[in-house]
Amino acid sequence: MTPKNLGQMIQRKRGSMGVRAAAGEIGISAATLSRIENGRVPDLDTLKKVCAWVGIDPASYLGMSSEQAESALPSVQVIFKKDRAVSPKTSRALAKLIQAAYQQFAATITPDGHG
Amino acid sequence: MLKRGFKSQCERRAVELRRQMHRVPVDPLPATDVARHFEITILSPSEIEGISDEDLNHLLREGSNEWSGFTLGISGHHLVVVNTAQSERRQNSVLMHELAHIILGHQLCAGTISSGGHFVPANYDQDQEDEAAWLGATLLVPRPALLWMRRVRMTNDQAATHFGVSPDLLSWRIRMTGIDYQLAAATTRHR
Repeated sequence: MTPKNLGQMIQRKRGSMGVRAAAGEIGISAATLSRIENGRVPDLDTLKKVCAWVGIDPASYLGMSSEQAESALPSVQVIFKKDRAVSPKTSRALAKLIQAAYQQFAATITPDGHG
Repeated sequence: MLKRGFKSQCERRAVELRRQMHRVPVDPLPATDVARHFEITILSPSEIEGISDEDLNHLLREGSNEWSGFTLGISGHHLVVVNTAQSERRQNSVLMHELAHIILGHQLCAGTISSGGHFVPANYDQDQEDEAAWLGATLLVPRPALLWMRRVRMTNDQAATHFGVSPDLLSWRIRMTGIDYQLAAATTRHR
């Protein structure tokens, strides 16, 4: 499932219900819900809430269970400029940068410390 | 909500760190110097090998307003990558915020990469975020530095330039420390 598919599923489930009312039911802000409907990539906690509301397993979005997802990259923290729901293109490029940085940094660390 | 005594602890740390780094409280403290002091690696996105030009260009141009940086931790060592497309002052505060997390011993939060290749961040610990924001800003502009800028009649813009921070961050520190009220009260008492 792509971020765009998830956005469409939310819109279908929401039907004629307003964004604010749906966001209230889900437990997220209306702005965040609107961004996810527009295909932005949410954070894990938001994703779990949205999936529970739509009635789907987060695994269909993540490609792994949310428990596995929580420990997949255990020690990374990303600082976003304004909002953590970023565009799919930025999210994908960031994922590649993080993976490359991880490999490069891991290679410099020896068991004794920095190599 | 910050723990009781945390703000005073931050002020003490900011002064103590400057002392360890042979600086006085009114000296600017660039985050890059603090990173060097704690042996924390900093890399710019263009120094990361194995990322395509297309992805790099996107992150530093079209998508540069969406992210500020990230921190990785491996076996007790830390790497901070800062978005070099953002202003130098923004980079300084982002880096100091991340260093504050490390100095405070916070656990980095988890994240994952979905099967579609998207980075999905786990949720942040708001208390840890608040603590890092407070310590990061205090390290950049401690209270004695704010009192000094008022004493020497520096404008906010001049002081922001001196400390390498945005005017917004400086104004926030002025408001949060209440130095203007403190100085006004002292003036009234001496009349």
